[in-house]
This record gives sequence, C-alpha cells and structure tokens, in this order.
Amino acid sequence: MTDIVTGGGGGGGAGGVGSTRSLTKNGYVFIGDQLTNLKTLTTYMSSAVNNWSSFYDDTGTAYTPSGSNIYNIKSFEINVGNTWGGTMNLDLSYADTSPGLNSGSAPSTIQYYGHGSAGILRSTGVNAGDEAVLKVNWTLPNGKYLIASDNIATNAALFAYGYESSS
Amino acid sequence: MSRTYVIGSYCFAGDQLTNLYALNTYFNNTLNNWSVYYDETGSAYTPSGSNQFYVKVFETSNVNSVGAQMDFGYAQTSPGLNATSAPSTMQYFGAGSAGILLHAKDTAGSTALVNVNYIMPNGNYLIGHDDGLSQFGTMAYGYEGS
Repeated sequence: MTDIVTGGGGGGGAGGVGSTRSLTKNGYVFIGDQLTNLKTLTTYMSSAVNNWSSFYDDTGTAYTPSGSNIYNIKSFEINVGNTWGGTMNLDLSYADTSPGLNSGSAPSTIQYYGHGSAGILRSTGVNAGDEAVLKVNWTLPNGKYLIASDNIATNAALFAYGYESSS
Repeated sequence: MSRTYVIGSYCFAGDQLTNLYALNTYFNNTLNNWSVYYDETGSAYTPSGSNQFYVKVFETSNVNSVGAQMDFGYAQTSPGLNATSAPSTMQYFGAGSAGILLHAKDTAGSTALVNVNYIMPNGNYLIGHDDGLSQFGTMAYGYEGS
C-alpha cells in the first residue's frame, strides 16, 4: 500500500517514508512517470479578433514534444485579462508549425480538437480575473505545436497541463 | 497506487481512465436544434469495436446571456452540427425531449454541469438537443467499455 499525498488546488506534496509524490491539478492525479514528465505550458491571447498563439514551455520555447514523444493533455486553464461585453470563445488545436503569439492567421496544417473552429469549445467569463477550467484527455502528436485561438476580442492567459510519454 | 481523474463528482480510474473520452460540440443561436458530439480528432463520436459508451458528466459553458434547456440522447445516424430536426432513431436519456435534463445558466461565461450514469449502445452517436436560443460549447465525459 502506497500513500498518495496531494495538496489542495494546484499544490502537490511529498510524503514521508514509503510515500509517493503526486500532484493533483484540476482533478487529475499526476504520479510516477506522469509527474516526472509533467509539462506546464503557457500562452497569451491579445485583444484581437481571430488570433492564434502557440503554447510555450518553461524555457520560453514554443512547445513540441521531445524525441519521439507525444504530449498527453489533461486540462486547460483560462484566465481572462480584460472586462468587456462578451466572452472569450476558445478553440484548441495543433499544427506542423508554430504561429508564435497572436498571429492573425492559422497555420496551414491546423487540426482542431473537438467540433472545429467556431470558437466555442469553451467560453470564459466576462470580467477581468475570471477563470475557467476545461478538462480533457487529448493527445498532441510528436512533431506538432499546441495552439490556442479565439474569435473574439478578449485578452487572456492560458495554461495547459499534461505529460510527455512514448505512446 | 493508481492514477485518478475527478470530473464533476465522478472519479475515473483504471480502465475507465485509460478509455476516458472528452467529447465536445456546440450550439448556435437557432431555436430547437440537434448537434452530435465530436472526439479529439474532429470525428463524430461512435464507440469503437463492439464497445458501449458510459456517460458520466455533461457540461455547458455559455457564450451569450440566454439560458439553454438541454436534452441528451443517441441515434444511429449523426445529425452533424445544429441540425433543425432530430434523427429518426433518436432515443433520449431521461424524461424526453422537452429540454429538461440540464438548464444552463443565462449569463455569458457561466457553466452548468450534471452528473449522470447513462449507457449509449454500440452503433450510435451521442447527441445534444437545445430547445432555446442560446449559444454555448458543451462537453461530455465518459468511457468506453464492453
């Protein structure tokens, strides 16, 4: 029997002798190899209608899985930066190339998760500081870049939580 | 030691976590329409092989400030997005088609969630039905099993 010690919210914890480190984030328990290979990615959407942004790793590099690995995405967090009369309509996707930050056009090879590109995979709040969490169980293939896009003029910070693995 | 994933009030673990599907679709501002749920590849979802789909959570996130009144069910054909009529084989979960399984909030950016314990048989497509003028994204969480 192994103890799993978890912190509240985004926190994690280390147990004593015989215990295992874990991190509970947005309902998902990362443990073992999934915790060792956990990647927290971030990006930013400006107040432009219709823009596309890559997710970046902790070194400031547009993220693509290393080696021949894939990235297993478990959740996204959205934090709204401004207050205005509408919501942010978010789509998530991947492509062969990185669009950088707030590109005005989608990469030619873009592949959307879910229903497509209408911009309402998840809508966020209308006030600065509003937060939303989208739970998923999706895969970013090797050689691809993870991308967020919106079709409305909200600015926001976004986070992706997942881990790399060989399959 | 086991990994888990809590979505709504349900804790996915073991094979249920391995076979977890996060499905998605949306509704526009049309009164009375039907949309199929899509998987991560953008395909209308139907269980693989001879599996069934065990639905545990439905969730909505509103784009406009109009409340959504939703039903969920399944059919042998996919209606695509925002069809104006139901597939002929439509089978509703719960009380039926009056829009009474989940009422989404009438504030843009708000979410609503219902925990369920339904089974969609093999050979069917998971479908949402909105009988209001709301616009929103919606997720369905569940797992495949035999």
